[in-house]
Amino acid sequence: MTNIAEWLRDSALNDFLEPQAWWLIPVIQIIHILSIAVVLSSMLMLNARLLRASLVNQTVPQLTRRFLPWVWIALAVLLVSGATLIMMEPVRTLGKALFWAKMAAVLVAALMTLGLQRRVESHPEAWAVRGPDPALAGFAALNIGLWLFIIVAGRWIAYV
Amino acid sequence: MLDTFASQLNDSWLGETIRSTGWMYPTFESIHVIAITIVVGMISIMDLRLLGLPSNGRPVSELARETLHWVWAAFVVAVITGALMTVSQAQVFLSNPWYLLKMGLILLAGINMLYFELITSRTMGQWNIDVAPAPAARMAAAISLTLWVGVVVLGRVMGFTLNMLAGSDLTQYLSSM
Repeated sequence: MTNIAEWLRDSALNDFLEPQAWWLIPVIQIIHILSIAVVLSSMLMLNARLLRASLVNQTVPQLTRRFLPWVWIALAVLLVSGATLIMMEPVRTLGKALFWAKMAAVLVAALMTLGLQRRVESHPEAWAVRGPDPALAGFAALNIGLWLFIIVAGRWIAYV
Repeated sequence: MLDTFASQLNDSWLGETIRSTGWMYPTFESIHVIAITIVVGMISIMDLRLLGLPSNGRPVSELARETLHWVWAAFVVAVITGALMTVSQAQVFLSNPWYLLKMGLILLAGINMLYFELITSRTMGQWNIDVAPAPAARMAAAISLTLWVGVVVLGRVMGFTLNMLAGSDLTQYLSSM
């Protein structure tokens, strides 16, 4: 992995990006943080409903339709902005276990969300009248825990 | 005067305690990021609705009820963690123009919100379910969205202009750029 990181650092794309780093890195980080705001807030709204802690006057299918398109767009922006940051600072990120733990958490959280969306969309009528369900509450708690871990890990990558 | 205040904060028991450990500052920072993303995200849901965008045409009053408790709770957490980070490096922060500008934007955002709550929202009954609410409400939303994005921008710019945590990994990282 160190080799890949060093190869990226010495690559032509990096040569192109490096002189721009002083303004490009802060700008991309700002885009990254604003996209995190979209994902976290949308997922809090949806998961709070799954936990029946909020928005109980709306159905789960209404909320997945309302929030998940935003989540997928923001995740795409996060992927592109994150990949660009790695391109500019490969050695800082790719060599750290915490970075890979963050990536694993992103994968699991995104797959969980996709799985939920597919289930809800295949039986919207059943989901619209669904009652309290401990398994679903556990799913929601785990999902929100993963998003919070992703943010905390993202900040600690700068320190470890 | 600000200098004296800053050095008093910096040398306080709290400031020294936070500096004496390596983990406290990044921990406050992580919680701060979570809090600020909730503040900005939830306010955006409300502001975009006021600007006539999404949220499935839900009444503004209901959306306000759904989002504002998140905003307030997260804002309190952001202020507390922000204050703790400030105390630990008071001279560095209080002499940074971007930091002071950021505080100014938060103050303006607060005034904008207060004006909306006290004056503009009085007529909410007339535009509560409209796709495009009253011009004053749309204006408040545009100002709010601009100011909060500005707060995030300045928060990040600050991070790149602070000369702090001398000798730490962060300084090495920043200076390596």
